[in-house]
Amino acid sequence: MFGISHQRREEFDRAALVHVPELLRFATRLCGSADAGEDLLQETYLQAWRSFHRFAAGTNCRAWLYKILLFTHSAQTRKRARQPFLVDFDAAGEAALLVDAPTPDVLTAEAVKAAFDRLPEHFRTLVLLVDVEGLTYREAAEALNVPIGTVMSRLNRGRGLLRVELARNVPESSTGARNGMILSAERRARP
Amino acid sequence: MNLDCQQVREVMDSYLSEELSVETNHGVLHHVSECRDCAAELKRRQRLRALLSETLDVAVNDVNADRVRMRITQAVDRERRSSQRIARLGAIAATLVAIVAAAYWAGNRVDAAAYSDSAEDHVACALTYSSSTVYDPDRAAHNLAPPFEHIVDVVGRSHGVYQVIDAHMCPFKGRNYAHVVIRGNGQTLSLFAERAERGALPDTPTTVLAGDALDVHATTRLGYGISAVATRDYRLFLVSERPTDPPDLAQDILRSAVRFIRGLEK
Repeated sequence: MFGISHQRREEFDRAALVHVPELLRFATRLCGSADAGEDLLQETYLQAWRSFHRFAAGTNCRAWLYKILLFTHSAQTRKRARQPFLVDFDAAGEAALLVDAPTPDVLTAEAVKAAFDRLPEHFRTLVLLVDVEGLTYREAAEALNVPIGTVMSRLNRGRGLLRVELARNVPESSTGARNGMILSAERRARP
Repeated sequence: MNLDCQQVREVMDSYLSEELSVETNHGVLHHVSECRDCAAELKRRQRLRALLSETLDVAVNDVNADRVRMRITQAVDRERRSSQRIARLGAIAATLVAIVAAAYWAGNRVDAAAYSDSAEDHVACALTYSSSTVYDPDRAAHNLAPPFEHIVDVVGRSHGVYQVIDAHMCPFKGRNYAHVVIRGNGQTLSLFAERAERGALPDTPTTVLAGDALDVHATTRLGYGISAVATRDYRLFLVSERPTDPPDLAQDILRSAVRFIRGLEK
């Protein structure tokens, strides 16, 4: 029994521990601080170790670890602990209209950070996973436990909302809105 | 594939994520090579993507990563040792439960075939002796085995008209009886002694053995009367065709056999 445990431990080291740097970066971004990120990552790896007998060797360990990390984070923040990625469609309703919002001409790091922080958490997480961490749509779908089509549509909304948030905070003359693409309902209603 | 501006902007981010099919990818490239507005929007989105990574960049150097990896390794090792301890304790607990259960089962099991086996061996062995058989101490000494070598000496070679005609070890159905064959008054009796290895005697009506505190179980198998006594380590069975004459002679034989057994148990 203990020989099997040792072998399992070696497999765990080989398959899972190589992703520590990447997951540490993601956890820190997700939590907003290095200490909280490290704690989240340790708990994630403990959960992964406890469930490692269910992990099928040869499948995508990276996506599996992201999935555990997101579940653990969700449980820790007591938000939707059992529901991996439910979207509040009322809040996201407006964003659905904004998928074609143009990107402002002038972008600053501060404006991008502020716009990103204003995104609803479920969009923020997805943009972080795909546009920053570079997960494929399929890996993101696996990590979030949703169909790939759902990832694509939510990502579209998240990216669109990010552009709208950026446009809110830059001079109107510097947005690509001049190029004739769709504006938000709010902007169109402005006198 | 020809794409218009609206279509290109819808798939522009997927283009940047390299998630488009080859055909759609070519459609985007072809469109932006001819459309300045969309080419500009593509550049802005590339810039936004780069700024996003730059802004959210978290410095994770090798030292940090190694330290966290070490911390995780130690936590996993603690978890693993804890699981192993729990598994060991579980195995010990399971073993103890099994031992207690086995002891309980052994202490409560009943030797259901005790009476019928003694009656069957009586038929198979004692009743085959010829009427002319007489006791031969040398034959008995040769055929008895420890600890029963002296059973006849203690039980006595005669009880009234009843005489011991033979004694031997008598293996029967996995049992190892010491078998004393007694004859008198026109019938043959068998006195069997065996170690108590198969559990308690089955319940039957009992009487108290005269001069002793032991219960005498009385029952009938195959038409033969059986009186049985259980001591701490041994079982005694007296099998007869009919009650002895006088009736308490059977008790005399049993009592003397109990005396022999008590000597073994000291």
